[in-house]
Amino acid sequence: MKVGSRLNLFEDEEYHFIAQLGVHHLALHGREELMTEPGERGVVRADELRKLQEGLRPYQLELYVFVLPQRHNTQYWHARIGDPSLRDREIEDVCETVRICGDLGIPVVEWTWYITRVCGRAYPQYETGRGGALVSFFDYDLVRDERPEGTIEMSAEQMWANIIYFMERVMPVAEQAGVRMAVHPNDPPTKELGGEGRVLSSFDDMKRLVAEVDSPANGFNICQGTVAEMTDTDVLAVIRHFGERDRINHCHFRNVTGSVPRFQESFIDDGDVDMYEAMKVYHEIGYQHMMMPDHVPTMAGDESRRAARAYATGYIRAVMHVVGEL
Amino acid sequence: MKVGDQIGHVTEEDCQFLAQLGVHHVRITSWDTTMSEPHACGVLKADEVKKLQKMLKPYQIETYMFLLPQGRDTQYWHARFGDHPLRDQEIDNVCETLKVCGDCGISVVEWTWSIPDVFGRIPGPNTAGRGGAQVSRFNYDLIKDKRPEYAVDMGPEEMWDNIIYFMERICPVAEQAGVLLAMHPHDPPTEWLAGEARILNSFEGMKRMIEEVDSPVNGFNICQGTIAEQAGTDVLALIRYFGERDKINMVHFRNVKGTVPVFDESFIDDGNVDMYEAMKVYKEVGYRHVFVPDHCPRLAGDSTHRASRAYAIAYIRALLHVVGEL
Repeated sequence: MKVGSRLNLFEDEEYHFIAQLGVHHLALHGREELMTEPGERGVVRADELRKLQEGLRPYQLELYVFVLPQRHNTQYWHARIGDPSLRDREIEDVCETVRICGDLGIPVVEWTWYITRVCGRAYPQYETGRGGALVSFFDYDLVRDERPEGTIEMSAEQMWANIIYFMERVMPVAEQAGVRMAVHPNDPPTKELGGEGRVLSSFDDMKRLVAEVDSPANGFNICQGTVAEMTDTDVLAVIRHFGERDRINHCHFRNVTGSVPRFQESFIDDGDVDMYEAMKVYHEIGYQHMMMPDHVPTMAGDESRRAARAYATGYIRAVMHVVGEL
Repeated sequence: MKVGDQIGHVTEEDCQFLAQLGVHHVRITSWDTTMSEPHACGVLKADEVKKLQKMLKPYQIETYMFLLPQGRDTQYWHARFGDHPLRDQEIDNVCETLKVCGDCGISVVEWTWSIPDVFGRIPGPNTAGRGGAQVSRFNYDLIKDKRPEYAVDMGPEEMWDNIIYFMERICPVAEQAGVLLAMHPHDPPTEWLAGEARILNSFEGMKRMIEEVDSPVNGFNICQGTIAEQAGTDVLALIRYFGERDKINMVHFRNVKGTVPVFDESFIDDGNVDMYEAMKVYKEVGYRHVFVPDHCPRLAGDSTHRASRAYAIAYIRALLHVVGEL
């Protein structure tokens, strides 16, 4: 297992900070300046990634996960809504991006499949975390009738048809490229959101995803926060199920309290899941990729979020050490 | 067992940050306005402690420990020199301070016994820490012939005479006041430093200290950094020895690389001692007081030192949880 971090800034101080935390593996988002077309579209630019890798090398930092653009109208947006005019071209862009990641030694590509991620008042922050820390809060009742700009009514079955079409084309390319795909389940994991039938909002949905396109490259980013938000879901059982089948390619090791319809994010050690128990399961099933903090609460006087990131990373390193991985 | 931190002047924001870290037990310290006489001399003022307690209360933070003034010319400076005209008055002031602590509900009083104190850390940047972090380094060869102007030559037996005189007078008062004493062993634990025989620089010296004055309140702050700096000391055996005898009243849970004559401080999980193994020993011996990070290397861009402390505190919290204490 590897302890990881998101790379937020392309600056020496950020690289120093991450290296000092004992972190050597990074997740990089496909932001504007890394893509060939405006609006986080087109293909990732190999030259930019190479330049970044050069800059990271003195700090012994490695790009381990590339996160495909996620937002409205970005790289493969029309593929998600099944728009025939752009879908195939977008999927070719994704395939080319996956090939480039393979060429550059980036072993994992993360992706998502939603139309409505975070709508309306879904995620305000409140001082309801430990010690009054600001944490994100979700209440389905507050947002069930909202239709923010960009949302489209689409049934779950149509969404499934679209995601299967995508996976059938991307997975063989990933296999060829030596890249593992890590889909992030839907956050928040409601059955429906903003008119969209959510395809990845339960353990059963996740099982279906890997059954529909059976490829060694087809796996998950087990965002433990999201999995814990799923109603009546045994998080440890989910980890064990997919871990035993070698379907976990990335992990957001974070915590929440509550589950759909109402939950809030929390400090890593202040949520519903016992993170030590979770870590033991990853160790048992031989998980070998990255564990990273992802979302962290906003702490007092910590505008840079560095204290909150350091806190989560310290916790992860400790439990990883205890199970014999560090 | 409890996770804690050490505070001086604090703002509301500092208190919030501590509560968000899950810290509810702190060591407070003294400065001019909290003591009855200038330059941290005289007796601790109860009303100042109560003022601080009132500020901490909404954050559910408890003043669990107090550190007696340490520096040159402070509260019991002359008592360290033996038969000095001010010695008995100073010891009375310490005794009165212990009573104030007892009255204010402070459980543990930390003290030190040295003239050169932590003299001899090499000046200037030393980026030998993980990821190039700046860490404090000690190298005996570079400072063995240097001495501060206030240094005196004092051999081991004279040092013992003076410390025993002090302990014989304060231990009974602490017993009466319901306060435990936590002596911080010598840092750096050299045989000699600036003319002073360092009598609390080894396992043997520490054993002698508790044997010389047999009192249930006479114990240590096990500064694990300092213990690990001692040449040839088995840190885990030392924890077990004093823990089994109920002589551990506070812990500085930190780490170092190397031992006297040359060592560097380090991140909590990057030094000589496996902190999980250490934590298991505290659990086994039934330690019930506080773990504080004490010194932590400063992470890049962490001008407030908050991220650095957050890292160490999270690491401690994780280990406490793993052994079933949190």
